[in-house]
Amino acid sequence: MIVKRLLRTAILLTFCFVSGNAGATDSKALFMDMARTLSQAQQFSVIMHMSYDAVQDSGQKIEFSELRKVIIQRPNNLRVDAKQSDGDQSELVFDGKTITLFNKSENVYSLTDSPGNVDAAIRYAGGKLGIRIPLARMLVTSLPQELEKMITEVEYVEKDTLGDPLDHIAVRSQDIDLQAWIAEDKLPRRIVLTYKNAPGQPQFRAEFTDWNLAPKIPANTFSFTPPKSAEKIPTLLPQSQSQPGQTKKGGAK
Amino acid sequence: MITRPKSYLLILVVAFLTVILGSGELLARRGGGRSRGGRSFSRSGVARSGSMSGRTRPQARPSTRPTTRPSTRPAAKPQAQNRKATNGSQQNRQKLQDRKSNSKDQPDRKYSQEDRQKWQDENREDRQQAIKDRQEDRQDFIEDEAYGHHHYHNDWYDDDVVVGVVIGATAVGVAAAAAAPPTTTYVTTLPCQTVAIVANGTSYYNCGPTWYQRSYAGSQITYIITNAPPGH
Repeated sequence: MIVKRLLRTAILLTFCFVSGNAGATDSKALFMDMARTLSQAQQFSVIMHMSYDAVQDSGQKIEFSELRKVIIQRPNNLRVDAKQSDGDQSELVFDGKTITLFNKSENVYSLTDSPGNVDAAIRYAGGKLGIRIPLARMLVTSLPQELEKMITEVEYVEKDTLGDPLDHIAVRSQDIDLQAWIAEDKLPRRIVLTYKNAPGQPQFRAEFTDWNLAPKIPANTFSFTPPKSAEKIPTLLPQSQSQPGQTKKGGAK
Repeated sequence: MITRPKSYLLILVVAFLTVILGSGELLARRGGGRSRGGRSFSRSGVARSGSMSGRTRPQARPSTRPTTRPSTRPAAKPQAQNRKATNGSQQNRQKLQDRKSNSKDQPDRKYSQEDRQKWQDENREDRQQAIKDRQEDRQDFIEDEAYGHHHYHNDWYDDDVVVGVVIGATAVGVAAAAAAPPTTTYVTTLPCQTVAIVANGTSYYNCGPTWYQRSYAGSQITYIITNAPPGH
């Protein structure tokens, strides 16, 4: 009887050790699996409930939040509907040719040509036009390569069992610490970024719900029809290099 | 005997409320994040970007409260604004340096620098307060017209691409417009209270001799200087 019980305990302990160990060694694999799942999806829709710390000059941290619905259909289509906690509502639509920005509160929109696929459009919007796309990298097909380039350390924190089991993974890079909670479907449920080199070490947090890798996308999702009385306004293209005090590439390191 | 304490209590409560209201504390709280006078919280900062690269650009940091307030100078003076922005970034750098530098090194110097800095900040804030008080009504209007959001940078300015426009520390910047003259000055908030005049489907805003129209700089709606609409 005692022997049996001991044996059972030993088996259980071994199992725990092995699975725990496997978690640690496979943490990078788990993380990269998530990246590949996202980058290989032909289309998906997700709702992101985001919040971030705005460090005030006094040092006080204030949290603001934002709700974003993202629909992506590769290779050519993207739509982001955003709502800020202060009520500001905006849309970003890419139809394969043009990036449309629409601000519902101001009732204005702008059209900017963007040749190429949705990857190129996101890069152009984020990098050149200065359009804010939180976690933009998660929307491009080169996500795995981007992460490989970026990360210096990946560790398994724990199996989060409070809800559906999630693999809690801690990732470090030169500039940020990233935590991801990944579900069994290899999709993230939560991502937390810590800007460890920034004053006050602010965080960006995103919770993901309603993942759908085969969403039913209404035909007019990626075509923008300006509402009545909406005003078309120009888009400013930045000239960063000529800005006084502006550092060029790599200057801020 | 019973009514007297009550009346004292009433007087106390009234006095308390008067003090609070007088100090503008309640009004400020009610204003919340939309900076309706009083204290306003900035939405900007590196974490707003949600960027995975997380590179910070000190000069783009929307610095002290005075500079994040709507510009009170005419937009036609970008030079002055830019200088102000540079000061802001220097201050930030200074702050960072102070934080980094070992306090064993010349502690006196460090503190005196800090003191001077504080004094400068306070001094500026006073001036700003005076301007602010005069403009509070106007600013309310402006805030309703155009959100004073100071978008920070976004996810994607490493690699071969460069960050978007300089917004935040300064209300004035220079950018090339896609559908406008090659170099355009823009402001994030109008320098005066004005009402839109619609001509040919475009809203024009008039402040003194200057006319503005709206434009996107990144995700932010800004105002660029433009020619007067027909008939003005």
